[in-house]
Amino acid sequence: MLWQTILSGLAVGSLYALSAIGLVLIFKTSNIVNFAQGQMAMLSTFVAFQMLTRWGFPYWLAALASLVFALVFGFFVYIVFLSRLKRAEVLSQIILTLGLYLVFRGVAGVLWGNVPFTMPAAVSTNTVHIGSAVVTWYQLFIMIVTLLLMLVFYAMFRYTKTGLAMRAVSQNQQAARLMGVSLTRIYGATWAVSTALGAIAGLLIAPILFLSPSFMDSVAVKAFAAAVLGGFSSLPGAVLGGLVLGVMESVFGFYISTDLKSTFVFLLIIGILYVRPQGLFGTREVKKV
Amino acid sequence: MQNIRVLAYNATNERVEFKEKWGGQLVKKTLKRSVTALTGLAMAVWSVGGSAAFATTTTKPHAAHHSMKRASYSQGASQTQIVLGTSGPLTGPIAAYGAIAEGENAYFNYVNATGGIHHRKIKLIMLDDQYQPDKAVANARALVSDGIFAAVGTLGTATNQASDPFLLRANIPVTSVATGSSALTVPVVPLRFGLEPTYTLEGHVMTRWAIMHNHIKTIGVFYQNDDFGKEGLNAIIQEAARYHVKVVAKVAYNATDTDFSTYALNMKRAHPQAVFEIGVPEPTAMFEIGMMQLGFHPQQYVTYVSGDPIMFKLAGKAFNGAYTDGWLPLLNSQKTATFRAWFKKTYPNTPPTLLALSGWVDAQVVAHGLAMCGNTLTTTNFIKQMNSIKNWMGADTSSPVTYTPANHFGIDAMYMLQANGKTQQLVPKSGLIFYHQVGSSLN
Repeated sequence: MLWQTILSGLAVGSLYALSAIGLVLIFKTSNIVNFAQGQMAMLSTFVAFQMLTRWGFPYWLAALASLVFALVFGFFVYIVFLSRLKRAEVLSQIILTLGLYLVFRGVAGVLWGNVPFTMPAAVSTNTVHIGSAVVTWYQLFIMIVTLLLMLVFYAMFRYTKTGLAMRAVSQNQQAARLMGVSLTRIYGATWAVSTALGAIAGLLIAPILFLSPSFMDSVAVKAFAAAVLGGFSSLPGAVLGGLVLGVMESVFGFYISTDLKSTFVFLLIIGILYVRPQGLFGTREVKKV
Repeated sequence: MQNIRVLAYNATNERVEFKEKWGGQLVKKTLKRSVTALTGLAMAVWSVGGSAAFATTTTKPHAAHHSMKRASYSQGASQTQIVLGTSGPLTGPIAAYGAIAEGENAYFNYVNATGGIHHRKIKLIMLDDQYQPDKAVANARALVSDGIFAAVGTLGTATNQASDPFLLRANIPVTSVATGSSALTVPVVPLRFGLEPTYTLEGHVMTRWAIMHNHIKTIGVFYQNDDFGKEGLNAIIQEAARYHVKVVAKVAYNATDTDFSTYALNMKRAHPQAVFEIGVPEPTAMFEIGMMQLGFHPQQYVTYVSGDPIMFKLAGKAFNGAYTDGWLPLLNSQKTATFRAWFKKTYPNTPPTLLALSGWVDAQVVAHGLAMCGNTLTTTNFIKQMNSIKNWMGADTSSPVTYTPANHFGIDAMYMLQANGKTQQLVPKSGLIFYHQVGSSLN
């Protein structure tokens, strides 16, 4: 049974991890925590849903359209809202994303209503036995996608010129601009890509949690926790944070108490942050004089 | 010139009337006052222009005043309209339950289109509380200052518990509360009326039926970790104890959970013959899917809160064969034809659900009480008339509605249903099972 609880925990943890990647990406470049991330993912997922079930497109085309929509949407949100505030305090920009959260939620409610829909899954939801435990092909698929995305973006940050530019911008906007980095391009691209990441998360999570304007809410909270646990600026950290969170919930819920599992998990996170304020993978900020 | 003076007099009269009846927000009054004044002015200008049609418009208000003297009114009611209010989760995490307010609205549209209640139109004020008690309280304040005659179908246990005291202190009846919590109907509060069966009644009915008909020996309960889930759980435990049936697992979930596989694992470990599920649709569906994926297939008994055809879509195969219970007729039955037609007319893009039907029924009951009041639309008379509703079958419920001064349950019977996966329909499995048939523990 322990193996089963761990496997179930990994399955659910990868949902948290997947949603956390997009959050971390934006934070890494712009130091903004995007509270609207989940809602942007939700809107992108609804685009695919609309094409699939209302207009009868095949899954791959709907998913592709959703990704394209997300890229444009993310860029649009940056250009129209965020770029106007780029000289404002980071706090104001974060508050703006909170406002966007409410706007997107409201728009989705008006367009699609609040009754939950079932979203078709990309691959089979049949179960498969791994040792003594059961998991679905779909859950395995999500775990693999999550790990792949993490690796791709980790490599991009580390080894490409764009990645270097992103890191430069996050460290010092002015210096980066003086070196010929276009802020609009870097930020715009980051928003576009992280919204597309959100869309992938949404497309994969919706078949499990059902699609409705609020379906990303509870995942988003855990995604924040996962990101914080991982150090918020580290992609592998966010993924590990998500998985650890999922497994802790599952094991604690099974062996100790389901009533208190969320409470316990968040207590544990506080405990970890008490010992390691920079998170599991975060680097300590040192100010040199 | 003569005409203008008469008009001014009329406008003042209306203003005074307004102040007396509404006695509420100053802003509203000034607004209305200026609107009245403006209308008066416009009409005056028009009449000076010499329109013949004007004469007929001036006489009408006078005629209205005469008949009004014979009738008596509490706040919110008048010769021409009755104002009702509701508060529910029109947006937010459980916005699906906003369908209840929509069902109410559809019914009042139907009433207004077919002549109103003794020629009085119903005006429904719908406010959004997102299922949050503090917002529900704010809405109650707003409804009181808007001068409603009664609240109808306000949704939720915690929300009603928070907002009702405010309405009750203002002497405003709270009718058809949209929750099955016994806390709102036991003990009876004279101004507050339930309608849905209580979770206590449901727990007893389902458990006894499962034991009697399906001879179950062990029970597991999956329940929402709040007053709703716990009330159901307690009733199940009580009824099971009566027949020496064991409750081998109690698994609580929280409304914000995302992972239900742990709950399914816990349930599988205890391996009960029947699992009772007292939760809202999405978590219940995820839990059912979780059990199915673990290869655990117990008999399932689902609360009426989630006993909706939407479960076929959410849970898929995992819902097949599940039992549930109901107090409303089936959605595709002849009895609900008017509901379906008018709901579609009011909300063309929203599918009619059982939730919407329950809102429709909430409205039917309060409309019936109002109709019985005749021209004496006072709070006292309304309560008196409501308390005299006996075995009324005029609402689209599957069982009769009854209130007495000592019983504000409304519906006191339910019937069992089973989910048929092939037809994607709920199929009735029993006749009506009444309160008094399941024992004395309910009061």
